[in-house]
Amino acid sequence: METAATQFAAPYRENAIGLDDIDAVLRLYRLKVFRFILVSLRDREAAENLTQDCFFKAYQTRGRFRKDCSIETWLMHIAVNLVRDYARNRRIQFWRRTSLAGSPAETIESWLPDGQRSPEMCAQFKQQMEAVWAAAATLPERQRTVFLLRFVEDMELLEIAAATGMKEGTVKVHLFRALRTVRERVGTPT
Amino acid sequence: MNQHLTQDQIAEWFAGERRREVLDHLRHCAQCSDEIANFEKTLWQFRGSVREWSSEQFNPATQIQIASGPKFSLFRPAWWAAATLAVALLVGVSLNHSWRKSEPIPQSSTADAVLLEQVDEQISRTVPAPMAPLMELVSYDGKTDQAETGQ
Repeated sequence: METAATQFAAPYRENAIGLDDIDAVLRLYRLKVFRFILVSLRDREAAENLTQDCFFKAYQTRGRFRKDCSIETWLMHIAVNLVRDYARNRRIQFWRRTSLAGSPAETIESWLPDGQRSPEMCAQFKQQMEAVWAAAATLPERQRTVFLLRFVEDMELLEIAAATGMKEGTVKVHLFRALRTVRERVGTPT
Repeated sequence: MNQHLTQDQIAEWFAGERRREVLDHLRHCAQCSDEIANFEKTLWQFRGSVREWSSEQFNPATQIQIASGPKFSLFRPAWWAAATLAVALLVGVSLNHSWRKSEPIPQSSTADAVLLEQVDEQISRTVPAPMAPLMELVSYDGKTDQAETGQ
């Protein structure tokens, strides 16, 4: 049986490039940063703006980058802080409407293997995806961040700890709680 | 381990922890093994669909300006709110200013004249008939007094 360790293990990442080479950094990590912000906030316009802010901040503060983590983790650390600040500010923006087209469940047919593309299978997968998507939305901010970093961005617990500024044990607790909630909401698929 | 895996043990598994007793249990318990495999599949599908979807939402043509700072976006609500507030303040201040200018300011000399008129009116009002002889004796400029004393 294929285990979670093999499926979600983050590959070893070497800091071959520096933050001075911002074009290369953008090329490598822009989509990843955008994706994390987009899935966290579910607002495309905000995700684009905060992605811009993230790279700008990383470039401006590159002198403080101590290289005790990868550039990717450093960028995700900035992104996590930006998302947290934005979400807090948005609480009072009750008039704001998010700009979002569709949900991930709608893409299911385009990437499923051919053998699993029957209408019944697609409907079942879509239902599950919508359940996970909805469950993730109800998670408290920290649990959601940890859940997304782990299961969408494939980050290890130590990397998540560095990106969120939490201790590894705290990350684990948030991840446990998030998993319990998501499993309860999704139910056990057959 | 005779019982099935607990929620915490399953959560630990997905967090990446591999305990020996859990591994042993999974080798012999088809139910727990299936449960883990199914949820693992769900998470894998979730990751795949989120990645696919966010790639569709991603617009690589959007310019990222690093050297000159974050780009000014006309679509940021904060900018619009700030601009609206500034315009409202300016309009409010100018309207208030012009209103105050157009309001007539009473001149102090005019006010004095009005007051004097009122005083005169009080003084020169007609007295009741029984008091009339007394009024003849009273003179404000002193002429009557002089006439009576014969000076």
